[in-house]
Amino acid sequence: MRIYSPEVEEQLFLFHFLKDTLNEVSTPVPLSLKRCRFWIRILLFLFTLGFCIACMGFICFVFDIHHEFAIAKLSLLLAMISFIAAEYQIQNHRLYRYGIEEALIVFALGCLTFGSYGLFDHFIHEGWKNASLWASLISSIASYGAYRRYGYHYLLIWSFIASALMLGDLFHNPSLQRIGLLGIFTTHLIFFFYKQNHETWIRLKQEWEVSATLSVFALYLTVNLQLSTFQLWRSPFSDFNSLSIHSLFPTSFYWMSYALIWIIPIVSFNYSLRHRLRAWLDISLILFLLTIVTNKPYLGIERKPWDPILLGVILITVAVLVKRWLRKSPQDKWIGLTSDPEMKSDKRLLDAVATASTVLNPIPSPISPTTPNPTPGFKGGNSGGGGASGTY
Amino acid sequence: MNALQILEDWKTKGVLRPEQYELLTAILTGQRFSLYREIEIFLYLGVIAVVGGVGWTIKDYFVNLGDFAIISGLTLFLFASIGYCFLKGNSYTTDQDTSSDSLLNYLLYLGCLLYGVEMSYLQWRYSLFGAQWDYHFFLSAFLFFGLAYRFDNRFVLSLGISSLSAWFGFRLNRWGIDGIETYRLSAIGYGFILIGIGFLTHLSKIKMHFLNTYIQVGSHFLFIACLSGLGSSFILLYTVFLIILCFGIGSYGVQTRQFSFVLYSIVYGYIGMSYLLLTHLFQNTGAILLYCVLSSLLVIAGSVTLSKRLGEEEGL
Repeated sequence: MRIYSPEVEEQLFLFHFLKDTLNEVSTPVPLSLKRCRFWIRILLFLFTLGFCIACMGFICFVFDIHHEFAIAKLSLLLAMISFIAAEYQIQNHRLYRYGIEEALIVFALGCLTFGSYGLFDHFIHEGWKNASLWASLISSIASYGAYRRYGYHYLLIWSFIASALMLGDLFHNPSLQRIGLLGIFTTHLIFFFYKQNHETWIRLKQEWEVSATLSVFALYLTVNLQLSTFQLWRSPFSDFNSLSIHSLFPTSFYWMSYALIWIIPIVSFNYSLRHRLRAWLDISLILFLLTIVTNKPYLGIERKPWDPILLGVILITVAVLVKRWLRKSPQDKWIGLTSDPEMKSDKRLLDAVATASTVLNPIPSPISPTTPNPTPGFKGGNSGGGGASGTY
Repeated sequence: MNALQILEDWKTKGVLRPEQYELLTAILTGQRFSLYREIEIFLYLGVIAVVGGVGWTIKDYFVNLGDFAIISGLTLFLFASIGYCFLKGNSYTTDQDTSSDSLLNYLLYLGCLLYGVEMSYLQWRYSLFGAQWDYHFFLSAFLFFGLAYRFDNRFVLSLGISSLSAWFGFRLNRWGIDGIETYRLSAIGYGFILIGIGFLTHLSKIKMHFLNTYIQVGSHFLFIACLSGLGSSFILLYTVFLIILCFGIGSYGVQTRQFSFVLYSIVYGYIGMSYLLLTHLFQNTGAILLYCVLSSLLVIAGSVTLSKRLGEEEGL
């Protein structure tokens, strides 16, 4: 199924690993795949995708294609052509994460989804929901297939989203939707978990690990009703009505989900630390943070302004304690754990965060309080002879 | 052969030294596992959460807390954190300080952010700077730049850059240049000053690693200002300026092998040229679509050629 041979990918992985770890790479790594730099990859991806979309628009314009059904048929044809083009590029030019072939595959999947929706919409006359259900199903399966063939994790994410859309169309009952999604993501998790534990190639093992981690994340989002019912997005800082979410689900389901949002990060964290799995560990920490952020709304307790201070103090304390603890342990490591950077990419990430924080930094402006200003000093009264306005 | 077997093979052939082999296999098998990234991100998020919470609490509860508690609390923390950094931090060096404790970096960052909160509060309550509120940004930028250079702290440097940009935004307004032109000129002036500071300190061999941050931020300001200028009455001037900028920043990116600059040059240049051609030359839908097809193809071909020239085998 996989288009790249594991041996070639392993060599490539080793090359990058050596570059990231050692100061000089004088080791002979044979590389047979054509790659490009990260930023050029993004550039090629964006412009190839733009080229494909413009081509489609141009064909529609030249041949005067306006009818939905005709556009759907054209989409399916273009999906096939771009898929063949991507395969040709990879097999003949040995492209690997080059941007061009990725954009062709993404375009093919987009066309397939759009085309299948148009086709089903034309033939099924029982309402749009059926068409979108089938289109989502096809998109989910195709994205998953493409992910297995090319190894792009964003296609797996899209496959998960398409599954969620499909179940949204299939079931009207929110509890049934969740149970369906839990079934899909748990199956994925078990499969990836199995693959991860039985893989002998280190590169592929890491890839299965990331896929399993994405399944855990999807599982968590399904379980955390406060996050995935989109109430939080509407009013992130206000005391949103958790009762309305509560009323959508049976009480036992609601509280079971509450238990799970604590259990999943704990189990995941424990597993990742014991087996030294980077992606699992990072996702577990993110899940912990999400659990803490949604804990109060889950319990129907009002948020307080000092909650972020508490969260911040906890984060800083944990970081400081772990760092000190690792520093004090023999040779700056405890059962293999260390607080020092091992890779150059660790430092680069922090530099990127520091540069990005230029945009994210809050520019201080005079605080505008929610309660009225008690006005220190005399600036005139609101009534009486002291001056109505205070400005003369 | 998997990676571990290849490493073992290299060790027996003498390609890798034994200590290199030990290190690489320890990392690959998880016998050595770094928590550096996670600890740093926790510290950063912790600082942001604390400052956000302090601002929110003051906003909602200043009546209950009272001026004295707020101002003295913030001042105390500010002096304590900066004082602690001076006490425990390494002595000043013009080179990159790689041995300093990252905890001090975050403590300093927290202190600087809380200073911003305190200044905002003082301005609101006592109108500390009166109508000249923008001077606060200038003074803050001065302070932050000083601390950033003293302690080799990129987070505080980014605060200094943000504060300076805020000061520029207000200042030109005061000079009576109004409207969109104000922001454009302010952005151009600011971009040039940032890049200038970056190069000046780089040439003086003072914290040379800060140069990238200056150019990253400065180039965006210049590009965005140029693009917005294409819609103004000085269209020719801004077009020439955009072309020079694209070549300048792009060449810098290629020379220093920092390819994000190449990406910026191509994307901003493409947007600018497309805007000019589509608004002044191509009017009908077919021509616009054909332009999109051909121009994308041109960029793809150019990028592939560039990629070949730069050497793909080197990876990232």
